[in-house]
Amino acid sequence: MNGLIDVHTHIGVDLGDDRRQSAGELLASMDAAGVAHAVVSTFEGGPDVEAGNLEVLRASSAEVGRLLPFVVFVPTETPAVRARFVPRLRDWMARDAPPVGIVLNPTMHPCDLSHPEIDRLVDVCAELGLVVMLHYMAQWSDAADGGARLARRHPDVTFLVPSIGWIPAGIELFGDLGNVLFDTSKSYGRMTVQPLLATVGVERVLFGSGSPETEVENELGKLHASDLTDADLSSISYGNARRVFGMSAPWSG
Amino acid sequence: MSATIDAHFHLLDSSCHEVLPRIWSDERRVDLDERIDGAGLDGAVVFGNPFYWNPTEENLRVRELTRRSGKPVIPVGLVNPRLGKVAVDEVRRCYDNGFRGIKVRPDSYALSAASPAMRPVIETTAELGIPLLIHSGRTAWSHPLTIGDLARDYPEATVVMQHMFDLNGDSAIRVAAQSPNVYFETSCAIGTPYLRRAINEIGADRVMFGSDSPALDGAAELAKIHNLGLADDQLASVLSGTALTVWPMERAS
Repeated sequence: MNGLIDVHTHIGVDLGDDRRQSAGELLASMDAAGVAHAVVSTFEGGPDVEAGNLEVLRASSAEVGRLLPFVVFVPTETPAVRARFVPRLRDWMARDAPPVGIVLNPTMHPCDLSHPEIDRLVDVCAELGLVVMLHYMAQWSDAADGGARLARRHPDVTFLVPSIGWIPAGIELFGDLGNVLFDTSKSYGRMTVQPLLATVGVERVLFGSGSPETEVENELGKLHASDLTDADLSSISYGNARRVFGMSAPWSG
Repeated sequence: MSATIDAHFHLLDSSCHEVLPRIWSDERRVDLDERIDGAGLDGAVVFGNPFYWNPTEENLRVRELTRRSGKPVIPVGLVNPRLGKVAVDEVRRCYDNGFRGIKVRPDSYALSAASPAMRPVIETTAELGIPLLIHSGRTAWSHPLTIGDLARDYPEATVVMQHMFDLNGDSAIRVAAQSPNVYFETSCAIGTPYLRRAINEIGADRVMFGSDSPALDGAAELAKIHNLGLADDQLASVLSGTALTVWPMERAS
């Protein structure tokens, strides 16, 4: 696969779910699966998210162009910790491998997404050209309404919603929002990929694995078994991601 | 007239209406003694806002409020087990500061009550001889069966299952039947037939009244207990006797 892009991976440590992956392990798994680029963020439930963000930025600097860093914002931190985030985000934009997005996880950090503080943060993302990942987890339904309203209030910002398109109500919530993209992680294969494509169109679906919770090759296998045309497979595997992240050519390192 | 100890009493301040979930009632009076008198209580088990990712500052605030109180109050610290060593250190710091219990709300951290991250926390509460209070509910994270998995592995630990799984207490009763170290707290236990069953089958000496005030209506929660039609000795146990068994060093006037 030419220039395959995985838009959903994690490195770091998650004690709560007993998961860990180093940057080296991620890169090795990318090599094994033929993945050219990966969006990477720290585990939102890690023991020190601020340190995790720095680890992601360092790893991305060591692999400029290959790893695309997202940084995690924890809205349930204390006001003092939350206040540090945007100034740091602006500083990080000067790095050689700056963040290309932020992560909000309303399941891990239950919060009020209608609060003005969240809107101000998303406004900053609009200003900096950052994608906002809305990372809902298995039990998302109560909070997802707020995510859809947030995306509707910010039509100029691109939102990426992993995994949620596999639930009909998820497609219904986000389907008519053209600024919301979906990744393919944790799908059940053709029976879930095809209805998503039929509803939102191929240009809003991107390959994502969710590694290390899932295995990249297995997620790829499901995608390849989803009865896609070559053109659709190319769009999902790398074309859409290149457009979203402004990448002109596949990595050749 | 039986003494009444409220085993689930939140101390909130104006910060609770920040970006954290807006589930609380409008009552935000911080005068602890006034609230206890107003509710007709003889004592209370108190803790702060359980939505902060790192509750250390919230615990310090609760410590100051309880130190100023002239009422019989039992402070309980909040911890986020996902923080690893930080959480264990916080358990010990709370104990050194006079806290006599630790509360974990798994849903605030998308954390299973049976997670490996819970183990160092419960091991520490057991070592210190203080109870571990765990929110129970309808999610997989705080389902009674996951709390039961944890409690069964640590028979030396005292576990208070808050809310008794709200609407359907059947699995909660099964857990308590298997694990004599599990106690029930009654706030939000909407399924009163299950509450009555728990008192009759598990024993009134393992069920304690809690209101979850001010998130819930304290008067309604207390009326729920009085409306169960309990024998006098059962009522006395639920309203205060069980709490005094779990916190034997404390004596409400």
